[in-house]
Amino acid sequence: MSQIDKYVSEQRAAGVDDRAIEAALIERGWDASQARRALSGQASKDRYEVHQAVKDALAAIKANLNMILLVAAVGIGLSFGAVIAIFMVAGASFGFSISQGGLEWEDVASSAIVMMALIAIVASLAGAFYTSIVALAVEDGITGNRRSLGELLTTGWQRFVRVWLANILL
Amino acid sequence: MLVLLATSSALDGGASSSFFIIILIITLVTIWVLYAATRLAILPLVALFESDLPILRTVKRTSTLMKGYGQIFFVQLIVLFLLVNIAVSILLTSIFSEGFANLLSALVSLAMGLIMSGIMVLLYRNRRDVIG
Repeated sequence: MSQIDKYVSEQRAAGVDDRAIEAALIERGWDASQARRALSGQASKDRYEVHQAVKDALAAIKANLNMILLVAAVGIGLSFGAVIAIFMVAGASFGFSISQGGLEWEDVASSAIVMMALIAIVASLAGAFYTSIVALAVEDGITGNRRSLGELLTTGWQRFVRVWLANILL
Repeated sequence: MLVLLATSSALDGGASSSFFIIILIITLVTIWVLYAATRLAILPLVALFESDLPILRTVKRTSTLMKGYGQIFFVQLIVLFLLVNIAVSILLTSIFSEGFANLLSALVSLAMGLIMSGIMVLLYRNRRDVIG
């Protein structure tokens, strides 16, 4: 708690009214806007401390733990699934090319580059989807307005391209 | 001989000055990346929760939300998580065998990732409440 917040809470505990506290704060060197922010509680909101955020996050996760774990598992599963599917498709196409006898090392190298690029794109899309649904589930834990898994997946699905683009911009 | 020495020293000077310029550029780029990362840390969340905004405007919105205390918070958070991660890794490798410690580290990282997601959502909500 900052000095100004401490002073405000002490004065309030002593039964001093807000106008008198504001006047006292100005007299003590704080400006009027700082005094008003401290009295409205805005100043303490401005200084959201990390330890408080950790506590709040743990409380939010605890409040919606089952859904967050389920959503995280689905997100991770989909991410792995997508990458494994690419490997399988690429492996099958390599196998087909080898069976046709027309595969050169240059083809392998260029295909490997294409495959790596494809994996990077799919992994980043899957990551964006995971981020979206986990953030939505955490928000439900904060607000107490719990959505079903289907609603979370649908909302996440509708918005994940925006999150993906944001990740690319970042 | 003198010409050779002058050429050699000029080459050395050129090499050291270009090395210095490269280091300077890398330093400036790193500072800029860190600065941009702190200013845009909640960009994916703004894109997620403010879905009516065009994607390019979310950058400006994020920058406005994070300016000032948001950046300080994010730096503190990153330092905290880095320290916790290092401490957990050291602790796990000193107690368990390497393979099991790696498995536990992965699980801890997953849990910390979830907590980090939660904190970032809370940071976004706090900045939105404060700045509007």
